[in-house]
Amino acid sequence: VSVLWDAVVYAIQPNTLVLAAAAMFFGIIIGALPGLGPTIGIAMVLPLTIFMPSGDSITVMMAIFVGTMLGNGIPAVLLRIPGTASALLTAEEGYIFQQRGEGDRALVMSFLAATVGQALSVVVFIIAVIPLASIATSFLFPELFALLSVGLLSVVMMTSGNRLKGVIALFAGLMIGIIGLDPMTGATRLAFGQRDLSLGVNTIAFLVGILAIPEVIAGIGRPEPVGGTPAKIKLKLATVLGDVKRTAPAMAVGTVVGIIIGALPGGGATLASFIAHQQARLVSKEPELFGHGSLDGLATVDAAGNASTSGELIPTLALGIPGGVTSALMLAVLQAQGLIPGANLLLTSPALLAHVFGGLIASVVLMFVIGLLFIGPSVYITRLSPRGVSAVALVLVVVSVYAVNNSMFDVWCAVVAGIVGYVVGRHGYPIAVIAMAFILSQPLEANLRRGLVMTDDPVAFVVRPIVLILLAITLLSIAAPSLVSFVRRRIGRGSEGAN
Amino acid sequence: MSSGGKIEGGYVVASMLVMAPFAARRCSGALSRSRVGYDFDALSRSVASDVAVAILFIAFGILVVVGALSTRMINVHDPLGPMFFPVLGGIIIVLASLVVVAQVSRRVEASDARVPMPGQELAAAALVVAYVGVFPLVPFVFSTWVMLVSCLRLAGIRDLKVLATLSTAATAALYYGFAVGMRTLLP
Repeated sequence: VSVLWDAVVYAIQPNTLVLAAAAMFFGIIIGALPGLGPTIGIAMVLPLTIFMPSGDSITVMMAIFVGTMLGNGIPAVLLRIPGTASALLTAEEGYIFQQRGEGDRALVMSFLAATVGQALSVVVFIIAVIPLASIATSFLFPELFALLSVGLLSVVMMTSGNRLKGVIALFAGLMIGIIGLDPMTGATRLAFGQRDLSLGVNTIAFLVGILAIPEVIAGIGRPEPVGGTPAKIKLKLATVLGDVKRTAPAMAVGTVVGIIIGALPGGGATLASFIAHQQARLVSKEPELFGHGSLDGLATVDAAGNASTSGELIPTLALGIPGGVTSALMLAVLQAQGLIPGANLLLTSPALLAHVFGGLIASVVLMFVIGLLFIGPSVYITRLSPRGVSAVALVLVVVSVYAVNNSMFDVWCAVVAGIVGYVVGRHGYPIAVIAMAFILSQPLEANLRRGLVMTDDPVAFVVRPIVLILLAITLLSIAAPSLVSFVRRRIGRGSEGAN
Repeated sequence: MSSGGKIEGGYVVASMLVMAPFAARRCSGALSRSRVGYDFDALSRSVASDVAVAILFIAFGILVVVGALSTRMINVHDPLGPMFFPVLGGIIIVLASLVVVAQVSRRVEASDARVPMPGQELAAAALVVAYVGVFPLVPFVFSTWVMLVSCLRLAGIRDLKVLATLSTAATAALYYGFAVGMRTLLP
């Protein structure tokens, strides 16, 4: 209760509100530009957040995250151009309203559903994070190793395309992450006699490089969207309230799916919105409209996408396992500030916890207020040139990385990571997996080796209830796709034989 | 190298920054013209490109194993030791990449490479390398202004007045934000 009170006090401080509002404006602008999403938005300000107090830096990143998700819906509804993949279905459903001359109705629905999803997921986050962290504090090295393995493997399993490329990306990220001092012996590894490499690759430089540079390079080359006519908001309050009442079940489905999928490592807003869209069709009174301009479809997709952002924070802060790329960036900032993210940090730093809660509360309140005031004028953001913004972002990213340590070596690391990331990303290797493996490499290896020293026996390391359960989940998640396709083949053959 | 030489070298690379977008356009035009005469199969190009990236990973895996094997051993009670994790990781990367090469070579449809890369994206990558190359050598305001002009030109902004205004405003914002606001020691 005292933490919640501190959170509210932090949330209403002018400093917090100004920071969060500025970050949210920035996020909405970035989100409204086609092709630019939360990752690039956060990566652009990442080096600046390192110099802020931990609570403020989390607030800024969370507000940008929320703002970009909100902004994503604007070009999706008005121009049928999803800002990122998570707004694909918003574009499918919302643009039909725009064609009918009801773009304002879709835009307001998208904004309200996003706010509801975000607000409810923040409540769930506040309720769930402390119990989960309390459970995690009883974990010893073997359990932590198993937990990290499950997290990393689930990220690989959720990648689309060739899974083998996901495995390669996973181990490539792990190997880059362990460059530098060995956590047990202090020996220098994989530095090849380079003094700059002996302390490892700078986390911020590598993550900003591999996540932001490929996006801005691709952004410069992407064709400029053809602008449409922005909608003017001319809705009556009764219409809005009627729409909210009608779509409440769909919003609820979207929120629940968003929180659950967001909390799974590798889940993310895109997967959440697609699953929620399927599930909401089951509870909708007009399932036939789904995909053809359904208000329920629009509401569930936006609620799910936004609910997944706070869902992502649950494993990130409670367990130290990032739920997605954006939360991996948040972990990187905490690490750069000398903190070790995870259950112990959360439970032993009530001030940080209060600031996280407060930042989230402020973000939700501001989301509603700014959204309400800004939704009309926001349609003009779509007239900005995403390619021009990408060009400026490219320079900003380089200077930001330099500003962290005044180190040209870090800048080169970022540029090499960015260009290699761009090339391998074009060939189907998931960059998100490389980034997440990089950030989890040291705790993964350290927990494995410390666990083996602790148990003094590999069998004793494995034969522990929680480790067995987590390893079983890992094996099941690896085998499940093959098993499902095997069963489907058998069923298919059986039905062919019967015919 | 003397500081004069450094600055001279810096201005040479800086001039490359300005020329890169124009060169990229000319280069992409020449490439499209060459396609008239030479009928490359897009699928086989994507397979070759996919194999090349897999070979890059094989080389990386070998480098990791070689680097790990040269780790200085320290006597500490540690059943696995500092070499185990990188050697295992390196071997897995090499083996998995070999399987990818085999998969892609056998079944061309397995390739999910997107080639060719657009000329503008290649030029943007070249620009960022050139910018970082000159960054410590020439004054920040100059290199950044030139880089911004080049990037915005590459992004399709043609109007010279708009180019100059946007680049100057963004350079000023970056300079005051970092050098004055964050007290970063910019070149």
